[in-house]
Parts: sequence; C-alpha cells; structure tokens
Amino acid sequence: MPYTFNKGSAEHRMYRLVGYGLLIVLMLIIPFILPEFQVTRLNRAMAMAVAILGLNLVLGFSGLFALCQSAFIALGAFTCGSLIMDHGWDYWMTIPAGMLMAFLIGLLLGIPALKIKGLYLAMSTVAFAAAFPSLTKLEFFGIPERTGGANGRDITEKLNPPDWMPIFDATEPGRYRYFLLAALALFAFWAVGNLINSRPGRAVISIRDNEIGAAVSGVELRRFKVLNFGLSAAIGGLAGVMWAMNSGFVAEQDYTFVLMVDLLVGLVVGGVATVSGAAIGAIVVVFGRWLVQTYFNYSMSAVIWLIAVVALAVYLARQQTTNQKKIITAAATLVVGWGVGLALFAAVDMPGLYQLNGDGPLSQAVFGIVLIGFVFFAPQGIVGSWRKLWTNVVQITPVPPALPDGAEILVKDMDAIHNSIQG
Amino acid sequence: MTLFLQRIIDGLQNGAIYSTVAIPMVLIFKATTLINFAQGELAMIGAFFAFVFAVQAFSMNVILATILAMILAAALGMAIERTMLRSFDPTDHLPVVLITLGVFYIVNAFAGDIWNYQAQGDVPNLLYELPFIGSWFEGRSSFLTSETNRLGLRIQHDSVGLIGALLIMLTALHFILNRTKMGLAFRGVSSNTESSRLVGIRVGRILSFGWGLACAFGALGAILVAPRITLQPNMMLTVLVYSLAAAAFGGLDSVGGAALGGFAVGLLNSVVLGYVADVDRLSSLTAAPLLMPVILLLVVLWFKPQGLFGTKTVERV
Repeated sequence: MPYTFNKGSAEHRMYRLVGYGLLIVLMLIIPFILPEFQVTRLNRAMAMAVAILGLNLVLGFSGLFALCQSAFIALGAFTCGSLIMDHGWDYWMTIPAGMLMAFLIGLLLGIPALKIKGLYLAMSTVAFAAAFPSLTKLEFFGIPERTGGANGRDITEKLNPPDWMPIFDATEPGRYRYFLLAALALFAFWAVGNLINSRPGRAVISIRDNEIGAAVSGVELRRFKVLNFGLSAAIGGLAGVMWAMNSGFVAEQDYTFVLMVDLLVGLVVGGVATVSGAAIGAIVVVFGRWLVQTYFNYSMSAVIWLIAVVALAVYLARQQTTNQKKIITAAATLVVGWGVGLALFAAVDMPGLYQLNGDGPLSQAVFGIVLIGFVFFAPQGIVGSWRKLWTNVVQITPVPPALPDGAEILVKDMDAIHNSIQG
Repeated sequence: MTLFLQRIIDGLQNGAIYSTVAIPMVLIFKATTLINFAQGELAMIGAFFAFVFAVQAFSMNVILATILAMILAAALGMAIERTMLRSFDPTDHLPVVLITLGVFYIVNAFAGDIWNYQAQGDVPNLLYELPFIGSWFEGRSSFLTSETNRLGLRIQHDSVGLIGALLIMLTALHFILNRTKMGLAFRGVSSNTESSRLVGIRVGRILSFGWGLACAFGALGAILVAPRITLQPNMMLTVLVYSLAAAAFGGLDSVGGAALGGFAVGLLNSVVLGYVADVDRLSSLTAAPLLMPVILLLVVLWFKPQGLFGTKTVERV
C-alpha cells in the first residue's frame, strides 16, 4: 500500500523539505568524495544539465523543434572568452552578456521559422547547429581572432579559488568551480521550475497540447513561441558561460552537431518535459560516455551485426504460428545470419573486427542505440518511469481549489431545481 | 568575366552534389512527411557498399557493384522504415526526428568503425566505367591538373557526367512516379494517406517503396560524387546542411524543386562567397563556412516558407 497524503498538507511540506534537504546534502558531499578530474566532469555535466533544461523548455514543454542548443552553448562560451580576453571583463559579468547574445541570435533564428508549423524549424536549426562551428572561423569582423578560429582560445585568466578560502586547494580549482556552477545551475532549475508552473508556463504548455485551443483561449501564439525560444536560447548561453568557466578554454570542436545529439540523448534519457530529467540526463550522458570509452571495448561491428541478426530472428520467429516453427526459424536465422557475418568480416578484412577501439565511434553508436531504445521502450525517460514506480511508495493526492463563496449558492439552487423536477 | 563564369561553373558543379542528397530527402518527405536527417549517412553507407563490392572484397565490375549497392541501400532504408518508423504516428514529430538522428549517429559510427575516419584511396569512378562514353570522361578529368580550355575555364568532365546522371535520375523518377502504378499509389499516399488507405492502397508497402527508392537513388548519388569529395564516413556532413537548404528552397515536396534548389545553393555559395570571402576554389566544398545555406534557409522561411515549387498548406480548424 502506498503512503498517501494530500497535496499542500503538513506531511507534504515535510516530504518536500526532506527531499530537497537530501539533495542539498548530497550536492555538498559529492565534490569532496570524488577525485578532482571527476569533479571537473561533474561540472561539465552541470553545464550540460542547464543546456538540456533550456532545450527541454522549447522542445519538451512547448513542442517546438529547436535543435541548435549546441550553437547557443557555443555563443555563450565564445562571448565569455572574448569579453574576458579582449575587454578585461570578469567571469560573472559575462553571464548576462552571454545570455543576451544567445537570446538575440535565437530571436533572429526563431522569428522566421516559428511563423510556420511543421519541421521547418527543425531544418533550419539543424542546419544552424551543424554550420555553427565553421561560422566561428568566418573571416568577417575579426571573428576568428575573437573565437580563436580552428585552434580554439585559451582563457588565460582562470577561475581559481581566492586566497581567503582555505578549504579549496589552489592547485585543484575544480571543487571551487563546482560550487559556483552548482549555485548557477540550482538558480536556473529553480527559475525554470517556477516558470513552468506560472501563467506564461501554462500558456506555453497549452500551445504544445492544442495550438488552436490555446489561441482561442487568448494565448498570443507568436509572442509566447518566440519568447520561449529566445529564453531557451538564453539558458543555452548561460550553459555556455558555465562551460567556459569550467574548462577555461573555448574551441569550436567542442560545439559540433555531436554535442547537439548528446543533449538530445540527455533530454530523452532524463525525460522529455520534466525539469529534474535535465539533470539526470546530463549526468547519464557525461558519465555514460566516459564509462563507454573506458570500459566497453568490444568490436562494434560484431556487436551491431549480432544485434541486427537477433532482431531479425525475433521478428521472423514472431510471424510463425507454432512454437516448434518459431524455435526452428529463430535458430536458423541466427546460424545463417552469423555465418554470413563471419564470411563478410573475413572477406572484407575489416579493421573493426580486430582493432578494438572504444573512444571514437563506439560511444557514438552506443548513444545512438540508447536514443532509439528510449524512444521505443521508455519514451517518458528515467524521471517519468521513476515517477510511475514511486507512486507505489508515496502518493500525493491533489486537492481541488477552494470554491469561491458564490459557488455554494449556485449548487443549492441546482438542488432546488433538481428537487422541483423530481417532485 | 572569366572568373565570374568560372564561379558559375563551380557553383553548378557543387550544386549537383547537393541535389543528390536533397532529392532523396524530398522523396522521403513526400512519402512520410518527415525529414530524414540520416539521408546523407544512408547515401554514404551506400557508397561504401559499392566500394566493398568493387575494391575491398570481390573486385566486381563497378556498374554491377553500383547496382548491388543500390539494392542493398534500398533494403537498408526499407528495413529502417519498417522496424523503426512504421509504428509511430508521423504527425507526432518528436519520436521520428529522434529516430532519424539516432540512425544518423549509428550509421556514421558503424562506417567509422569499419573503415576509419580517413579518406579511402583508389575509389573507382563510375563514370569511367560506363560503356562507350567512359573513356571520354577518363581522358578529360582535368580538375587536379588545372588544365583549362580555350576560354580559360576549368570544367570538370566528372561534373558534366554528374549533372547528366542527375538529369537521368530525375527522368527516371518522373517516369516511376508518373507512369507506373506504384508511382500513382505513391502520389496518392503523399497527397492524402487516409483516403488512399480507403481506396485500397497498401500504405505500408508504399512507404517502404518510398524509402527504398530514396535510399537507392541516394546511394547512386553518393557513388557518383564519392571520387570528388573523397569517400569517408563524414563525407556527407557538410553536404547535409547544403541539401537541407536546397530542399527548403525548392519546396519540400517537389523533386524537381530540390534539384533546382541544389544548383541554386551551389551557385549562391560559389558566387557570393567567392566575391565576399575569397574562398579557395578547391576547398569550397569541405572547408568553406556554411554561412550561405543558413542565410538562404532563413530568407526562404521568411519570405516564401513553402519554397519555390512546394505546395502551400492551408489548415482548416
């Protein structure tokens, strides 16, 4: 039996308090448990989490296909790097500047594409995301000097712990950066969580659920779409500044379309249209890629071939009528498929079969498989599935809002009418 | 004047490459109203199939290898459509977009794992192997030797061949779509899926047919352009951006529009960038900033969202 209580009751408040308290304690302890290089990785996960949050705002909550969050991260990061190096700004001053930059470019991209429905926004944003790394090398207005061009740019002024903070070792700045980034990330999550539960947030969600219905109910479609898109871009810019704060180095190779697909994987794995899913997804993506690169050293061609043969066997077997036929079909498909695979591998002399290489293509393929797998089998993501399971433990019953005074009189009148009809 | 003519020629030459990816993309959009972001990668793997048959494993005749690769690529496209995309509602865009991106990732990684991310040497040129006219192409592929003709222009005969092949492809597509029963059913499904189902067209089979057709033609295009843009797993990454712009420019549901859009993007890129940024001719395909296609996309979306030849959709409440 699940433990049940009303929403807004004292128990519910206690439950929330304990939950958030545990989260804060965990976030305080973790950087001191993990080694420095993992803390740096965690910092990148936090930047990714904020970026996925922005992506979620536009893709998950308002259903618009803006697939260029990687470009907005890059805009934030490059703005941060250029302002610090060329104009002597401080890190914290570049946060609004990076967000504004991403917001403006987002508007420029969003206003024409949001005029029309369908996949046009997806097309233009994919093109923009794929093109952005090469745009940073464009020989106009001194862009390559600001962005560092193909070699990237080192921000020589790093974010190091000040002398009056003795907890942090000056040679290991990752922990100090962790706390700064965690504060920024918590702020972003708090802001977006509140936005979703506010009037504009509900307007945006209503556009996703039924555009015509939303327009009829008085939601200004254009304004909300464009502002939502711009806001998501600005959050992407914030993520970019966080990224630059963590690494102290900006280079166009970090912000390619691969990053965009990583963000999408994080979004889907964490849970589309959930706020906390962004954080979970980012951690899965960053640490998952590291795990795959370190520990997963099989030949990918063999793995993929095996998956394909097994899938074919299952598919063919399910079409048979009797169990005997099913087993024979599956076994025959496996034997023939694997035999063909062996012959093919032997004939082509593929290096992939012998040379086990985990760092490049393999992790990419695993991410692709994870993406498709989640879309098929768990479209609600980790957070969505977890919520479903958690209802077996704790259930929070929503309470209907209190009726205004006039409502009671109306109900009484209805009763009187009802009685008079019956009488 | 010579330089200007040269840039126009370059633009047409590059435009043919963009068209080869844009046309299959439009075919798939017509069939399923989804944009196949994996189109470039599927074409790339098709070119690798041909490479395996012709060079790496079986030393086949290049024409035979091309036909086999087209069949294999069509089978792969049909398999992807049947296993991954069929079960989703095409009007719900999120899953299908995510799946095409996942396929993009997996195919790219698969090719990178087997063949490494390096350009393959000795890629056979399909044009040289054609009967009767192959020797004409082979004798005059003057691109790298920078041999110029009487007007001082460098024309790659490969590109002439590519444009010719593109015209033949378009004619074949026109014939398939407008003169065959399957093509009639395809046009029916693309115009109204539900009504087609009601009049007895097997919609699933038509979707498979559309994907197969698109992937086969995509593979043919990739085989044709592989000798020019080098055969490697990332060969289609930049081309994809150009062809997205080309498809949007020509209209997402117009095959001829996509072909013209490819040439338009190529021309715009070489003429405008050639005068503004002085991009090196040779590197204009792979290393050039992808600024023009993005700008073109924005301009098209701003002023003529349905593209030049696309159907304007009207929505009724």
